[in-house]
Amino acid sequence: MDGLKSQIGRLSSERKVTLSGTEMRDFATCVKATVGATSHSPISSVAIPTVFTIFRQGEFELMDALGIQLKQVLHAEQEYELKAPLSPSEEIRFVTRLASVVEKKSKTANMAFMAFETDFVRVADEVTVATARSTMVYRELLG
Amino acid sequence: MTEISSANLIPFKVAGTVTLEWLKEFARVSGDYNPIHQDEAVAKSMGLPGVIAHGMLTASLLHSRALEAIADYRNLRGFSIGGSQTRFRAMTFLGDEISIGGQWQVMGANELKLDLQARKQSGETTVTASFRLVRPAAV
Repeated sequence: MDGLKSQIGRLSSERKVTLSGTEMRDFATCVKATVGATSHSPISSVAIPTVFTIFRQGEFELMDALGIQLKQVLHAEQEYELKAPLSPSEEIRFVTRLASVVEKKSKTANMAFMAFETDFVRVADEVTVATARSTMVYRELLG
Repeated sequence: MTEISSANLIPFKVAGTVTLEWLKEFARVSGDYNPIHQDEAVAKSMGLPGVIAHGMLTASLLHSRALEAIADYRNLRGFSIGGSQTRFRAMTFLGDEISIGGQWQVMGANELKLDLQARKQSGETTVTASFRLVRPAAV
């Protein structure tokens, strides 16, 4: 846990991805989305907001680089700002930033609340379609 | 129902019962293969009572219900989710039944808020989500 705060501002590598209609549909089916899987209009070609969770590779990369194993991490908060619709076949690029680290201690673990921020930018017109902020709790069990 | 007011409740409705198969499918579609969501031994080694559901699975069920609730009201045509804030308050385990309900809050002619909660069969609230609904300005 030592030195995590010094990593605030660290960036993941940039990724470019294209969400396929199949990925959107599979995600929507798994989470029982009955209404179009939409964030901005009731048509089935637009993504359910939490579909951005598919693109957490930047968070995983940063945690791995910091020596944190996924099993040591719990999700505390998730925030999305949705600025424009995202449709299948649109290419987006994103970079994830370690935005803050707050350390706490409980009886059983040392904890660090790590906030990751990711802007998703549509490559075709450079419009930011969404911003995701994930707060993850990294736990180091005591004893 | 066509009119929204702060008194409008979204009745609690069962969204599903957590199974290992469901968690494995969520891992596949989301790419979140954290072993505490699939492997009991790993979960216990991390001080957890057993396998826990992905928080984002419940969060996604809440978002799905929000979309359903918007679609239930004709006068909400044109509204969309402008943002959401989800808090993970308690863990959900294998065999837990997740129910979702909540309440509307009218903020103004072009802005609404929808607060939803996920509860377990015990009545314990596990995840809460607050949705900001906006109607894009006419161009």
